[in-house]
Amino acid sequence: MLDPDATAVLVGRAKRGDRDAFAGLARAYLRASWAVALAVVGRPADAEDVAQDALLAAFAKLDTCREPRRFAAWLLQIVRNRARSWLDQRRLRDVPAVEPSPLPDPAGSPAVEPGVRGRLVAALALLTPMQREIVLLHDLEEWTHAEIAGWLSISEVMSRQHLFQARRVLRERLAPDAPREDGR
Amino acid sequence: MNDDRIDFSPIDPSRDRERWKRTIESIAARAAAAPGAPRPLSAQLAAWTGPALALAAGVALLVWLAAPPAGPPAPQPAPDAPREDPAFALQRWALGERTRSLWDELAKLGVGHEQF
Repeated sequence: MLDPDATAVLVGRAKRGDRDAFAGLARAYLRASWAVALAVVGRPADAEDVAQDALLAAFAKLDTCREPRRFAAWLLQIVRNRARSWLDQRRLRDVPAVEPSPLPDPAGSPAVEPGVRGRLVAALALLTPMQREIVLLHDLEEWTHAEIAGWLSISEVMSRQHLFQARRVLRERLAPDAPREDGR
Repeated sequence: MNDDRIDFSPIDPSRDRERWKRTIESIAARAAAAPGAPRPLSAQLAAWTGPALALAAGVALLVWLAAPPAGPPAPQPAPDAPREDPAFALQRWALGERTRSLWDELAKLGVGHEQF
């Protein structure tokens, strides 16, 4: 993640239409956007679409970003909103023709994918959106608890608690002797 | 703490570096080309050059069309009938070409008896 000052410089240049600045911001924040989108929509491929869409939407209204140093928080809120809207539309679109499964589906029907990737996606579906967001931002995007707390407007203690619980659930689910989705 | 991290690399979209790079470039290009997106000064000047030239050409055309048509040329004195200079006519008379009287010469020049 870029530091706030470098981010503010890029935001300033992007506001003047600098294509390289757009690329710099996308390079710095696209994967974080994907992580936040994945935390909501549950499917990696869908999260990519949402993240790109949200980033473009954010760039289109960059003039409304009043605190360029807090661009990350501003962007991730846009991603979150877009992802929720996208999820609502998907739920309307994917109305089941048969009786729905009684099992909880916190991430909105994540697609079953084969192998380690599929197990990871299925395990993430067992977490709350906040836990997913924090574990992805911390373990994939390598944000610190201070950064996560600042951008998500929560305390560092809360960030650590969410991370601890998320990792525990994921390890249980991803352990070699854990039950698999396909029953093997 | 790093040992405790969950390995998300199997679902990491940036794992395919080339594809990720293309995605970022695509986003930057679309953002820069989006309608209403601010553009660099050089691009704005370049974009305005064409319309500005077209506008100038249009204005010039309108001015040219609105101008009154040129009238017939002013009548020029016939080259074979030059008006004789009065001083030259009197000089010629005084030097001996007295084919007519002085009064005739003065009358020719528009001077009548009554002025004397």
